[in-house]
Amino acid sequence: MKKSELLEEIKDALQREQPIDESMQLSDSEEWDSLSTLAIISFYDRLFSKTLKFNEINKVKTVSDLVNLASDKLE
Amino acid sequence: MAKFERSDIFLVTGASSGIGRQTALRINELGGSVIATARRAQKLADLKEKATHPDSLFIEEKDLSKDLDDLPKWVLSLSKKYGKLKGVVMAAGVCQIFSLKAISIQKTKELFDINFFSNLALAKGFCDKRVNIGSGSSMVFVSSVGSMVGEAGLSEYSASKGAINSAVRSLAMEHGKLGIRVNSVLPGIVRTEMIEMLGDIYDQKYLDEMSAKYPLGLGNPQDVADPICFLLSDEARWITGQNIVIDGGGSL
Repeated sequence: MKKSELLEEIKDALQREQPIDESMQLSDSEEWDSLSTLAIISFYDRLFSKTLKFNEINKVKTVSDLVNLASDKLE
Repeated sequence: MAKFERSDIFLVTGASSGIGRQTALRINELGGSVIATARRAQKLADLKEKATHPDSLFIEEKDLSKDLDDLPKWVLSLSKKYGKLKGVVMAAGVCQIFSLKAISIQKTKELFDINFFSNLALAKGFCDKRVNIGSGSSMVFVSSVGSMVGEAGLSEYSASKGAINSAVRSLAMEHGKLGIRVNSVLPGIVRTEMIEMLGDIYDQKYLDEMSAKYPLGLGNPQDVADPICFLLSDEARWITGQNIVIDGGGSL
């Protein structure tokens, strides 16, 4: 998967109207709630067969942190 | 009586026939805009011709039994094209009548794909904050009284509708805070194309017998479309998570 495609998936999981970029602060975002966290865990499992742990998700502050969790799966 | 504005946009599946068709026409008659979807393009074109306000009835040909995981994005694309949705009515469905001996698990899975999983995928799409209007949004699933009352040969169909009834309660709990109400209607025997297609089993003799058992007689699509419109409207603002039987008293 390309990084741009992953960013689009993250945008969908956040159900965000505006575009996102890697510098976006998730911890300040109203879209970053428990349901979007579950959506992120679900699509990492579906697309990358990667099981994210809650302590990994809890450390996430920015979109870049989320991208880094799948860095080994990106083209 | 429910009333809608042109800016109130509703997605209706299974809109080419029966309850879906009548619901699409009724919403449109009450002033709302409708995105009517079904597999049969010609039937949808006929529907548009029958609409009270054809300029606010939009048709989208779609086979909901395919690529279920893509359906949420399809719903998102509809909201980008037409505007945010106030409601969705999931009326698409199929009925198979088989004794247990004749059941094929593969065919049963296909029935569940249409009657349950596609609806779940559409619900997922509708609940996206980019798709619905937030407070005042409403989802109505078309279940069946067959999910409550046993009938020989209907084990697969009734189970697929029972799955809807259960999901409705959890979805209502999950989305109430987002302003989305979730309900289902459980019609009894309604004279639709689906019943006509099953004419070998639901022949006139059977329908006459059932009609005699129903205190208010068998139903017509309009008898279900009106309560659906009520559930979509703000008049039903304090109703969620309910499976509402509409069967002329047939299950009493």
